[in-house]
Parts: sequence; structure tokens; C-alpha cells
Amino acid sequence: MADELEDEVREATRELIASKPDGLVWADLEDMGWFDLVEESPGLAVGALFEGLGYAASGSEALDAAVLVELTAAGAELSLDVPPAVVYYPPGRHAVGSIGSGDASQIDGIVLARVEEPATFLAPLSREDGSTTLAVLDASGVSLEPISGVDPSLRLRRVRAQSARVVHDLGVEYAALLAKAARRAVAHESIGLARAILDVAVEHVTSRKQFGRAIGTYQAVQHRLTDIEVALGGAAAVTALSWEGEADSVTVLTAKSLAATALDTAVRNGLQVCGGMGFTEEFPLARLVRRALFLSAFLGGGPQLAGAVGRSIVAAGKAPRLSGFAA
Amino acid sequence: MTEGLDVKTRPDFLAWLTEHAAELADINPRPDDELETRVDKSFALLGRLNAEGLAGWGWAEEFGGFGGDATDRAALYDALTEAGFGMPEQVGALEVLGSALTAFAPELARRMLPAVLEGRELWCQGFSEPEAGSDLASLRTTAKQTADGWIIDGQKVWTSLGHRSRWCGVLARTGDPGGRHRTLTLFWVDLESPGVTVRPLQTTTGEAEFSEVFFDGVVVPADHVIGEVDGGWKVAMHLLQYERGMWAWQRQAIMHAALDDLVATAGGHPTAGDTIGAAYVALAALRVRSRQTVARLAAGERLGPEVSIDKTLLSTAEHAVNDAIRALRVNDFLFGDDADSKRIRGEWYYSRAASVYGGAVEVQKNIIAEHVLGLPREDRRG
Repeated sequence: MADELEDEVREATRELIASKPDGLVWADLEDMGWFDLVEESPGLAVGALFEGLGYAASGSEALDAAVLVELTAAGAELSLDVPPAVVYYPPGRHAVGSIGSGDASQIDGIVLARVEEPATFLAPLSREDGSTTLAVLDASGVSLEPISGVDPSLRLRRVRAQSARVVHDLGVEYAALLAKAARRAVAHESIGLARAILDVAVEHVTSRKQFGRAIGTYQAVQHRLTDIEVALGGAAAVTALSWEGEADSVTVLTAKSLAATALDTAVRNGLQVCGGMGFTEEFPLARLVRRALFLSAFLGGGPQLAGAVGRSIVAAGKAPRLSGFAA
Repeated sequence: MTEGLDVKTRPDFLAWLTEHAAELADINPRPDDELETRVDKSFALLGRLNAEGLAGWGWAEEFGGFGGDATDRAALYDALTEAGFGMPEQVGALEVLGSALTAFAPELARRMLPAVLEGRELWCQGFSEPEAGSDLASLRTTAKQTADGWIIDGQKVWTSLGHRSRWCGVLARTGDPGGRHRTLTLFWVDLESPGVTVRPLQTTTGEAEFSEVFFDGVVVPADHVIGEVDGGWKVAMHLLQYERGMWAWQRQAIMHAALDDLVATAGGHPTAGDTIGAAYVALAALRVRSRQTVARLAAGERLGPEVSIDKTLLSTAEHAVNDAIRALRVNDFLFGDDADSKRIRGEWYYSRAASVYGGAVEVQKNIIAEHVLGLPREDRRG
């Protein structure tokens, strides 16, 4: 039963993504009933959607939807009818500006939303005490400029403002929840994308012949590809676990770290075994690699997030055992 | 499963073990104890845990257990290491051979399992040979049928704890060597039989955990065949699911304890966060993947070639955790002469064995390449 539902959802998601070559927008998710599904089975809804998006390397504002759904489910007062555009921080930072007693200032971040002129932004901001809070900002006076960058198909936009009016300060717990929800979705997306790269590479080494045999018969080539499969096996297990019970931050950071590392492995080994073809634009790898270079680093890369987990373990004095078979 | 009113409830392993840890300190096989001491304490500990109603969960009552499935055993292994106990030395072979006996030789299992659960005996696995490592199907030890049983001749190697074991599961050839995996049979052999010689091997871990076992005209009764004659490969493949599934789970439990110990001893090192974090995520990948696999085993699912992913994650985690310990405790590792320094060196060497035993990681990758990814087959035997 559960497996059938999962197959159905994955199939429907794949079809929807395939039918929207320019990327999914909010209304597409409404049309497919994603917002109802996510209430019933959030792990399945987010997992299927983002693995599908990753596999297709499809541009999307779905990440905002996944984040806002989790925030509102936790009690955040946010409108899903006129959703704010989420401002994400670039790698190496944990906020996109600062907040004092009055307005927010020094806003600099990126948005994925496709809405031309969002009415409000949702932004993680540093407080003077060093903590990060999440606030709704008025869009007036905020500039939006397109970014081409490493992957123009993402159609990212840079958000900047000297200062912005704070409509509502939601508090620090929501900033942490935003990071968790976004990383969890991106972990799924990375897994889907790494799987797509692996499939392209498997297809290539099976058909490409050198020295009179398919290059996929060479053990050195095979082992490069199995390294991707093994990395995906660990990453997928921990990412799935992050939906069981209350996801703690260690589980989500570990999931995103493993997913980013699997993606890095897919890029490194996929490019290697696809040889010269992998460097041509006509070969399907090129666009997957561009997306991978962004996703792997977005919201923290593999070693960086592993380091964050390690520091939390050292501070706690104990390495948490993720799940188990306790009575 | 839950027929009748007399349904036993599994005790809270971790709570019990934590409460009794101090009282059981003398029979705790600590990782820094000498091997022989660990084995002696393991007998005492498992016997006590069985008497207290803990060890035995996960084995059916007809085999001397308390009922339940592989997840109950997994819970005990996890709780033991979390409560500061070393892993009892018996449980590695028990998982592998116990699962083979219960599935393929239930009569033998009824006779044999209680002695292990009660802490009186230890078993070992006689698979590898000098000329048959990862290529197990090329093994040469022979079993010749007689009027009332079998005569075994040959040599096994890398037999863990062979020198302390009473029984050995011996894979031997019962037909044409050209038959490779089709002419193998698994036997249950009493190592106290005439003709058996066990020679411990001193290894780089600093211990003589492995043995060479020689069989010279060893008589084995007819009812000590596990599974069918010439059906040894099928039994070996069944048991391999437990070797790759449950063994990986045991090892992750042990490595969690090792990582906690590292946090306590070297948490102040300037690179502790990054080093421990890298090891932790590799270990978490193994643990969570292995948890899925143990749950599948418990549900009676037959594991396929994908379990080679678990074995490969195990190799990666073993290397990562023990390299982290070596890096953060480099002075102890290089210069220490105390028991704990010897332990971390021994465990580092043992971690290198993890990518070799039970089928080298290269062989696991061949299996994944061919049977999971469906890559074209290279011209190689196997």
C-alpha cells in the first residue's frame, strides 16, 4: 500500500516536472495537490519532489514551498497565499543581513523565487548577540538583480538593500527550522541529481568502446561508478531517516553533508569516465554538472557540514547514535 | 507471534546495563584487555546476561533464546557498547553460524546454540584458505563420504578465535574441484576431534586472534552437515547476509564507543571538530544504512547484491574512524606503551582488515558494478 502510493507520487511528480521545462512555480505545486500531500506525508512529498527535481536538474521555486510549509506547520505566521520570497545565504554565512532594534540592514543574499516583484522577503538575520533570527521584510527599497554564475539555468537573483523595514520578527527557532527544512530538501535534490549523473555515466561506459571492448568492462572504470552508488546508499539512508520522528539538527546536517559528498563524487567520477564527451555541451552531463556545483556547496558543502557536526559532538562530549532498535 | 497470554517483553537493555555496569566491571571485556582476558570475560558476561534474561533475545525459544528477531539482537549489541561494555567475543561467529544453523540445520541448532548463549562455548568460521581468500569457491579442503559420515582433510586460515573455539563451521569440497561453488558443503566440526591442529597467527594488531586450522583425517558424523550435500554455497550465501548485515551493525556499535572515547581523550585538539566530524558522518552513513538492512533481515527479506554497499560503507567507516583516532592521538599512537595506546594501534590495524575480510572491498565493488549498476561483465572468473 505505502509502496504503491510512493510509486504513484513519484511518477506523478516526474510527469509534472517533465511537462514544465522552464521549472516549477508555486501554482504548479498547487495544481498537483502537493500542498495537501505534504500535510499528510511530508517525507514522501518533499522526498519525491526534490529527488525528481534533482534528477531533471530542473529550476524551481519549490524550495521556498518546502521551507514555508515546514515553518507554517510549526506555527510561524506566514501567508502561503501570498508567500514571501525566501532569501538564502551564500556558502560560508548563516544570515543575509543584520537586525538591531529597528530596521534590518546590510541585506545581501539570493532568492530562487520566480515571482517578478515579491511583496515581502523572508530573511535569516544576525542579531547583535550573535544569534540568527528569521524576519519578514518589506520589499520596498530592496533591489533584485539576475545572477548568471555557475549555473544560469537556476535563474538566481541577488537581493540587496542598505536597509529594509521589518514586518515581523519570527524568532531564532524559525531561523534554525528554515536551515533544517532547506538542507533536508536540498539533500533529496542532491541525491536525485547524483543519481542522474550516475545514470548518464553508466549509459556512456556501456556503449562507448575502446581497445575493442566497452569501457564499462574495465574494473577501474566500474569502481569509479560504484563509489557513487555506495556514497548514495549512505546519503539516502540518512536523508530518509531525517523524516522519522523529530529531526534533530545532527541528522539533517549529516544527511546534507553525505548528499553533498555523494554529489561531489558523482561529478568527479562521472566527468572522468565520460571522457571527452563530458566536456561537450551536447552531452547530457554538462547541465547536470553545473547544477551539481551549485547544489553541493549551497547551504554548506560536505566537509564543512561534517565539521559543524564534529564541533557539536565535541561540545556535547558524545557522538549521537542516529536511531536504532531501542524498545 | 503473540499467541497465548505468556508473551514476554524485551527488557530495556540500555537501562539494565547502565544500572549494572559497575557491578559487572570485572567481567566486562574491555577493548584494552588482552585477547585471552577478553575471551574469558566474554564467557562470563554472556552467561550472566543470559541468566538475567538479556542475551538470548533475537533467538527463537526452540533454540534456547527468548524469542524476537535480528532487531532485538541488534539492540543488545548497541546497548552494550553504549553502556561501556566491550562486545562479547562470541557474537561475531554466533550471528553468522547461528543464523546458518537455525535456517539449515535446526536440530543441530537446538543442541548447539544454548552453549554459546549461556557463555560456555565459542564458535569459529572455517571458510578462507591459503589459496582461497576473496575467491572462496576455489577452496581445496576436502570431505570424503564414509559409511557413517565424512572425513575432512585440508587447511583453513584467518579463523577468528580458532584457538578458543569448540566448534567450527567448515566449508569443504565434496565433489569435483571444477564444480567450484557447486561442489561445496558446510560441516559442523568439533575442534576437539583427533586430527585437528590449531595454530594461532600473530598479526600486526599485536594479537593472535586468527588461527590456522589443519584437518588431517578428521571424522565428522553424517548429521553434522549444514544444509544439503553440495549445497554449501547456498548456505554460505545465506550466512553472508548476516556477515555483511549484522557484522556491520556490531562494528558500527563498537566504533561509536571508540569515537566517544576519542571525544573524551582528544576533544581539545585544535582540529578535533573537523577530524571527528569527518569520521562521524562516515560512521552515521554505515549505521543508518545497516539499520535498514537489519530491519530487512528481521522481516525475512532476502538480501541481494546491494548488501555489498553496506560492506563497502563499513570499510570506509573503519578507515575514517581509526584514521581520526590516529591523527588526534598521534603521540599515543607512535610512542605509547600503555594498554590504551596498544589498543588504538591494534584497532587501527584491524580497521585495515575490514576492507579485506569477508570479501575484499574490490570484490564488493565488482559485485555492485555488475549486479547493482548492471555494468558489462569483465572477462574474469568469480
